[in-house]
Amino acid sequence: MTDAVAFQKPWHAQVSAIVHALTEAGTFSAADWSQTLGAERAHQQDHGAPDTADSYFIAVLDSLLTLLDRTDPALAADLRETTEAWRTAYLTTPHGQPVELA
Amino acid sequence: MPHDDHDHDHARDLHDHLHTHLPEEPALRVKALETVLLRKGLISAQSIDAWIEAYANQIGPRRGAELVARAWVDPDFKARLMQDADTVVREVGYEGVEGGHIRVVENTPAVHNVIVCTLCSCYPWSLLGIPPDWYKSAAYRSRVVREPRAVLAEFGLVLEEDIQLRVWDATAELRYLVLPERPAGTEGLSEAALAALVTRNAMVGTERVAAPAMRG
Repeated sequence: MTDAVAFQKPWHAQVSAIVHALTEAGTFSAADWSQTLGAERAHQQDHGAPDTADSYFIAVLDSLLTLLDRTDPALAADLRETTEAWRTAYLTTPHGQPVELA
Repeated sequence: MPHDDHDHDHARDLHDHLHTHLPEEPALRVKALETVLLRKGLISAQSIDAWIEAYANQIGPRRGAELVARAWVDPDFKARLMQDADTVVREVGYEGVEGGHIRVVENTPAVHNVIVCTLCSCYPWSLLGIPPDWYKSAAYRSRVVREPRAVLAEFGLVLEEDIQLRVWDATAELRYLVLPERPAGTEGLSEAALAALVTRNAMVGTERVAAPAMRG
């Protein structure tokens, strides 16, 4: 079991970096983070999620949203809207051009 | 058939030419989250990029390996590391943003230590870099507590029956680093050469440090 690659996918690194930035900024504590991620992993396992790196980082993302929602309940709607804006940008940008939000 | 392969390749090239690929759903959600947090000023693009650069490419287990090698050659340093790792880690500037405490547990001919976080994935990031995927897997987190010898055997580490095995469960408040045994035949090596022998898995406890001649 060796694995030289630090992150299998760029978004795994992105979401990990966001966790560290928010911990460093004091948005939540390491203890809060550990409890929330632990609960999310247990929830995933109870629902039969595969035991993969993708599942782990999806749990990281969902845990982040749980913690952020406590202090900023409006964030969820903002996030949905921004996700759709990025989706549209990807689907309408011709190949080779930088993908940017309108 | 070659003709079909050619057609398939051509169709794929055409597709790639016309469309920008939509990232998979979680990647899209992470991108959106980053956008929202940047907009709100909760994170900065520079800090995100700097963290990824440091953790993906630079830190790795090098810092932990330096501490281990120094403990092997300097008994006073080792005594301090064992008694008060927090102070030592702070002195060398290797403390992380996670906070909490670091405890070093020493492997001996009679005792072998292995670390896990049964709750999530607590890990000494600032000393060992990114935790490997297996450390974060549900299988490792549950099995290494129930059947540690079997799990270690799967890593290729078969422990003799008379060796006591200790499994340490890390938390956000207390993270562990294993001080592996110095391999035989390394008496003449410099501290830097010793550090180069120390692997991440040895500091998690899922393997021993191999002597140079034994390394493949």
